[in-house]
Amino acid sequence: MTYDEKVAEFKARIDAREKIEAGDWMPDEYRLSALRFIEMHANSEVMGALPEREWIPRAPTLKRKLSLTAKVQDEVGHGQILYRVAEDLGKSREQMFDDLVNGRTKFHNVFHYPTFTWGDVGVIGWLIDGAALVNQKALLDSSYLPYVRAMRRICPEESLHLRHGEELVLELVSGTDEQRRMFQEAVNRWWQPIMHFFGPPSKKKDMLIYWGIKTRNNESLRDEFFTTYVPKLWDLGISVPDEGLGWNEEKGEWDWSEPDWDEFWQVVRGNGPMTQVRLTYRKAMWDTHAWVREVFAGIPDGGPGG
Amino acid sequence: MPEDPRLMLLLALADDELILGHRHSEWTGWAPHIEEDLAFSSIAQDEMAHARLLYRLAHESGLSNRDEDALALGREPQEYVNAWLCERPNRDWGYTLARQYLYDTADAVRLEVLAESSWQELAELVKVMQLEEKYHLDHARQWFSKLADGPAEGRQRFSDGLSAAIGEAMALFEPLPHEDQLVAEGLMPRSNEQLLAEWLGRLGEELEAASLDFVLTRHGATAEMVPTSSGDMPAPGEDLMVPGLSRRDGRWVHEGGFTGAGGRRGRHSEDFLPLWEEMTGLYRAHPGAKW
Amino acid sequence: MPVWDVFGKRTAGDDWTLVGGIKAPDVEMALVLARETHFRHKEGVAYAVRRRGEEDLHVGPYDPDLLGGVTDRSYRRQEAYAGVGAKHKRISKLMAERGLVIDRPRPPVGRAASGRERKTKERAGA
Repeated sequence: MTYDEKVAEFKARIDAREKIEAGDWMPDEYRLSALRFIEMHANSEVMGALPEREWIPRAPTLKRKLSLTAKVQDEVGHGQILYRVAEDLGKSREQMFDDLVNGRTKFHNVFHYPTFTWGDVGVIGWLIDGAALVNQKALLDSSYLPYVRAMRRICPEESLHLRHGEELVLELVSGTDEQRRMFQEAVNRWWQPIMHFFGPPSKKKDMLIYWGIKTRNNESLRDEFFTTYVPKLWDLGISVPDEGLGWNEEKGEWDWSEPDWDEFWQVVRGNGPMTQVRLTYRKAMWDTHAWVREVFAGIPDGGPGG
Repeated sequence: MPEDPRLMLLLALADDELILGHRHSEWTGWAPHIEEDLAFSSIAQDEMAHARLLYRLAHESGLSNRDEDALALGREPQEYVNAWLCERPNRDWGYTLARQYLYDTADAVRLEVLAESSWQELAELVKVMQLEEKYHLDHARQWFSKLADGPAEGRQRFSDGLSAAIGEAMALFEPLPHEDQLVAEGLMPRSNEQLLAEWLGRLGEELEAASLDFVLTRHGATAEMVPTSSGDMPAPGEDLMVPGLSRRDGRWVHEGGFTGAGGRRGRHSEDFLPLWEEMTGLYRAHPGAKW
Repeated sequence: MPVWDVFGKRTAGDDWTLVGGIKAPDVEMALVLARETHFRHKEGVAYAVRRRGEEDLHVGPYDPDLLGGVTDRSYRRQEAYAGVGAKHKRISKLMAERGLVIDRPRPPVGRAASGRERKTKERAGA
């Protein structure tokens, strides 16, 4: 069989909704698309840990201190799971970290922004995790089976985080006036990044959808997010800073205002408010701990680092 | 200072666990090696969870009318009775691991004895804590052997960490206020001085086996003079022993004062106040609020 | 650095099942790290690691009840947050009584959130 014939046969399997295993033959395009997507997902988990971990030392109760630590631990754990999947597609974890801290690869826009108050912890823990869960549940249908297995592990943990986040928010909105204001102010600040999170308007030909790595487009995922979370916010008396947001019964979908996509592109290309600060921290940690990698590499069983 | 000896005992334990757990938790999200990040975060959570149970016991047994959050996050700086070792910043991974090793081996000695406390509820709580501490010891010993037997730089960083921490680690066993009463009533079946002797014996053996016992004699890379609570300072030209540490008949023993004394009386190092401000700020800014 | 496949048993009678992998320099470190990477949420009663390319299975040394913690871990378990839905309803009711609910067009109650309507657009991308 020629390469092109093998690719066509592979594509037919994808279209028939068959699943691809780690050891299967795959076109180079498929391997690279999957690798980049999963790598970015892994990067996002470990970079997402950074804004949240700032609040562990400051948590206002022991229960929140513990649950926030466990949550950030889980984000790191998700990164671990996803880097493992990506590694088996042919790129070492060390290389992936190196590329991340040196700004050569990307991570989700929302993790380029600063946090200011405990209200932000609520937004991240409920709305941003909620947005992530919408995406992750959709990925349960991915064509790449090791990625599906990772999602099967990640989604229940993310659901737990979500419930914790919602509980945290409920305390704020039913608390003091200051606490309510804290959460509303955070929602106002984070709304545009959350809109950006689902991605720019879908292209006619999306390689990830072509190969079945993603099965739903950005618009449909954002629409699901609106349906799940906006009525709940409104029920709590929390507004969203988009005058144009509302359900359109005729169209059977939400009307909303397109955000500023220039800001999105600036951010994901490395010019977000906290991008360089956070990457610099990570790079400093990475470089500083070369000696630890050396310890691991020097062990007779261990072999050369890689 | 807590008047009731039982409260003193609980708070000393709980504050050690809370403050050290707080420091350990600062590694979550960026420890070297991703699987180690997960392991160390569990250790951090264990310590903070133990603190929570101890504070809860203090409240539910009627020793304090403050609940667990008010005890953990609502006291003034001079009311915390943790040892200085726990409040020091993490510095680097070498110090962090050295501190974890010293703390958890010391804590093991302490818990062994408290598991036999005449105070039933405390003894039961301690036995549960010991089950989780087993992993802390396994973790510490794994890293100990990897670093002690590994490349030069790792060994150096670990031994530097041990040197920096050992003096203040001994002060984990600084005698408590009301200790005589605690021992007399069997609440503490053994005194801190006895626990310290036990720990030093074990520690000395482990360090000698790894050829790391020099950390007990060479106090840091530079010849820093460290004032001790007894007022003695090592004379110039001698090997700088860790203050309070001596070698007698081939064994390491404690004599004299402690580096970093005062923790048990609410007197802290310069590192405590910034930690306290960060840890308690949000709680204290909204009195009575639910989170 | 080698990859280790990690196996677990949900209950004592199960066969070893592959649950994931870790990177560790040797078997002792692998056993320490695998525990909190894959079993901190009480995913099983026993675990084991096997270095890729080798045959030997190395079983973790901990008793079943130690995996996933002994002291109260409710802060990271689903059951602890079972009341969240009811709490949301209660607070929404409170907000309604105070006239704070935001009255804007929303989907009818019971309409499924997942974007079934979007399928035709998705196929265009294929």
